[in-house]
Amino acid sequence: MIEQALANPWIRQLANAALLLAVINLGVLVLIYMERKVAGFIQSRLGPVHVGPRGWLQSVADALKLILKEDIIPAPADRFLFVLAPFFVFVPVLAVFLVLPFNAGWVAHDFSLAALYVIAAGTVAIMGIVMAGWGTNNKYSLLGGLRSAAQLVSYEIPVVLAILAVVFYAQSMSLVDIAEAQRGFGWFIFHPPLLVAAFVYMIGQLAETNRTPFDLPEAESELVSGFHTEYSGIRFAMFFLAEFANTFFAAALAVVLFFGGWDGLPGLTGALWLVAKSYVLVFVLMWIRWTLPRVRVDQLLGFAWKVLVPIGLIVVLWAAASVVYAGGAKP
Amino acid sequence: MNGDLRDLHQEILDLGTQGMVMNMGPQHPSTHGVLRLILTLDGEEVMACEPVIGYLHRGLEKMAERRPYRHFLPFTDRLDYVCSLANNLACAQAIERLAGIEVPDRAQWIRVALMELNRIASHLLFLGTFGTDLGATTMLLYAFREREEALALLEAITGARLTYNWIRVGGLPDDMPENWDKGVLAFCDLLESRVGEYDRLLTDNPIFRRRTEGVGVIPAEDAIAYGLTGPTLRASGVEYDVRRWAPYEKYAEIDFDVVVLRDGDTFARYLARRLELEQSVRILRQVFDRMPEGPIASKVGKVLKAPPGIAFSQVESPRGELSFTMVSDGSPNPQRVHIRAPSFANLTVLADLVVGNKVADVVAILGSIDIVLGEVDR
Amino acid sequence: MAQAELKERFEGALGGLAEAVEAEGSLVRVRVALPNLRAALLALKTSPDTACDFPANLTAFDTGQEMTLLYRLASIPNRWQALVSCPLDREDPKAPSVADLWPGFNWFEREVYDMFGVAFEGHPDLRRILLPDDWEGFPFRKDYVSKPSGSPLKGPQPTDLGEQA
Repeated sequence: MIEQALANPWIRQLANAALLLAVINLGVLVLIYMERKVAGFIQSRLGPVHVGPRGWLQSVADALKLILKEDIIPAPADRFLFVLAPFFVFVPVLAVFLVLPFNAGWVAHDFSLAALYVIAAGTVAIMGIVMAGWGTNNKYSLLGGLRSAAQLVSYEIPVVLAILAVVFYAQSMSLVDIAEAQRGFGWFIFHPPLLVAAFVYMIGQLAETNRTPFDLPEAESELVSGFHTEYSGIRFAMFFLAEFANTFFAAALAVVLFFGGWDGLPGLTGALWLVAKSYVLVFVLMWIRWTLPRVRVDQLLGFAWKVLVPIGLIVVLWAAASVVYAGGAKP
Repeated sequence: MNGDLRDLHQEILDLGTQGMVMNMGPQHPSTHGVLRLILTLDGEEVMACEPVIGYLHRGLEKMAERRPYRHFLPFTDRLDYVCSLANNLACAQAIERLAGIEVPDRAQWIRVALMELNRIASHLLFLGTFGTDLGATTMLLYAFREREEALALLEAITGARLTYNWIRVGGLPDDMPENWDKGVLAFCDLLESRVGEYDRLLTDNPIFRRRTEGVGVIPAEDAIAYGLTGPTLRASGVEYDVRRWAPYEKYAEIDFDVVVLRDGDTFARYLARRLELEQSVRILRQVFDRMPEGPIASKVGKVLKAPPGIAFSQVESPRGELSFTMVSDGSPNPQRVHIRAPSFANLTVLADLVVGNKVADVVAILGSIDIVLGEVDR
Repeated sequence: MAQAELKERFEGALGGLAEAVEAEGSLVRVRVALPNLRAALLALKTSPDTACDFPANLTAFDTGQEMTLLYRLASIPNRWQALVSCPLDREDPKAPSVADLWPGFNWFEREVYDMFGVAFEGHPDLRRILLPDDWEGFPFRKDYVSKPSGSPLKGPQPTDLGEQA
């Protein structure tokens, strides 16, 4: 019966999507708990301890609280944009997970332009943030939205360049092919041009996910949370969820692109390796977040255009040259 | 200071161009209280800034006119609530000078210890909040970890953690508890071993440096003309520390360096406070070596009357020169009490200083001036 | 420095502008009449003998019969300071502004205006500073009858500023 139903491609895709959604939401709850604990230990305090054993259920309690809260739309807000904005941020983040391979064959939908799709879908979220900033009709949010647009557009480019370098090596845009190309510890991170690309990618993603030192759109101490100042309850939860899902995706994509995807020591299933490696990268992102101060907007954009983009271009040329003349990863 | 930029922006505004007017405060996480800044922005750049104060005005000076001299002491806790012992001392000192009351040696030494311990607590609060203003939230927790120890020591002697009310006219209400000096010296060692962590986390951080160096520069002559005091003035290269300039209590007998820096930028103002921590530790170590035995208060009559006249005190609070001016007409109540709050004077420079900077710098510059609104509004 | 010498320096710098000069430790108490106030403060600031260029404090007090302004100016390198007092006309208190000489006194003059109603002539922006804009009366005058007035929330509104701009 179930197999019959799954034979229908529509139902199959829906089931995949539902499974993915459950995995993402669970993963985000774990991430939030992890963020709090990591922040706690970095700041020489305990983090959540009261709800559930060792505070495990704190994230669940918070999620419930956010869902049950009154839904407030400020009177001067542009209702249409205000309501729509969280979806514009949330949906693309879920959509990119569709092409993420968790293991050999464990991918919701693989196609040959997956890398391009990831970049394109991710860009839609910028629209949501600008909509939130404008639709709220709050000057702090407007500044946050504008900062965000400038920042995300700028840092998209180095990220694309870094992915491009990987695509040269893998000779494919499919994430499955890219991961397959690194099997048996042939991880792309071991190739010098891609090592540099990995750094460019991680710094770019740090900015793309709005995390310190690049959290200017939210800038608690300047803009009072920027574009989502006026959001509360479930709408805020969507921004929050999207931010963490995005962080996890950025790390998981880095693992697929540079750290061999599901490749690991035999004995454990590949998906576990992928998730474990992703969490290590997420930990690095958190570590950076809780250690560094925030940069200023001109420094932020200057760094993207004057440092990261030139390095990205050089990496692309370098990667292309080493693929053509030195054979790259493949014979 | 920013003169050309200010003129340029004024010219632009005079043409009829409208900037975006943004209200920063009175409720805002980085205005350190109920300060309101009306910013006129051109994108992210500040074209004009008007500080609005008075949201916390409680009429303390007027209250002082209505009660006997000593009854005003507990009110002074609510001025600079981060370092309330300095307010207590400035008030008591003004009354002592007005009425000609001597303070016993032991009380003077304990007062010095209390001042410096409270200064450490205040500067630690500054380091933490300044880090938070710039997005380095972890610094707050690190600074509060040590501040907690300082507050515990102050609680051991005064019984309170924030509003101490522990200095009386003519001395102190009670002696130090047993072994308090050992606790303070242990805290000195602890703090000295921890300041390196602050440097690694914040002072030497390249992002922090780029956010603060060269931002909001106050040249020495401007710093003087604006009447700035405290670390804010000393960061601009002016050596003016009331503890050295017009020594009170036992500061004349103590060996310490006045921290004077050259650059006058946001980083120098931060660094001045960070370096003063070590000087305070140095002072604390000397205090207990030289603490004499003896009474801790001189006899003051039940009704305190001062001869007619004008007297003022000068105290180096963590924020600058705190001065109470008292006018007596011979009655048991003062005729006039004026509080020269260092934050009030230091805040005057802000409006001119932020013009031409980014919104993010407004937060950094305001943080580096280190104001307490309880004192600004009085 | 001997007090006599300090007194001489100040008397020399002030010329005939001061009514009385007394030295007391490193503090020089100077009394000035209102017409000479600005000239005397300028002399204290610019004369190399006194060099009191640091605006330490400005306040006022009212005895019920007389209202007096108190300036405190310091010379940081020389370690002396001057306490300048200047009686005002209590019925119509006016004084020349020195906010152009010391921008630091700008807010102090606004505070004195706020509390005592002293009109500082030539002040760039003489408005209430601590009390609400619509407060009635000047609370530190001895004949002030204490009565709360004004709305605690009223301040300059962004719309007013927009019109100015």
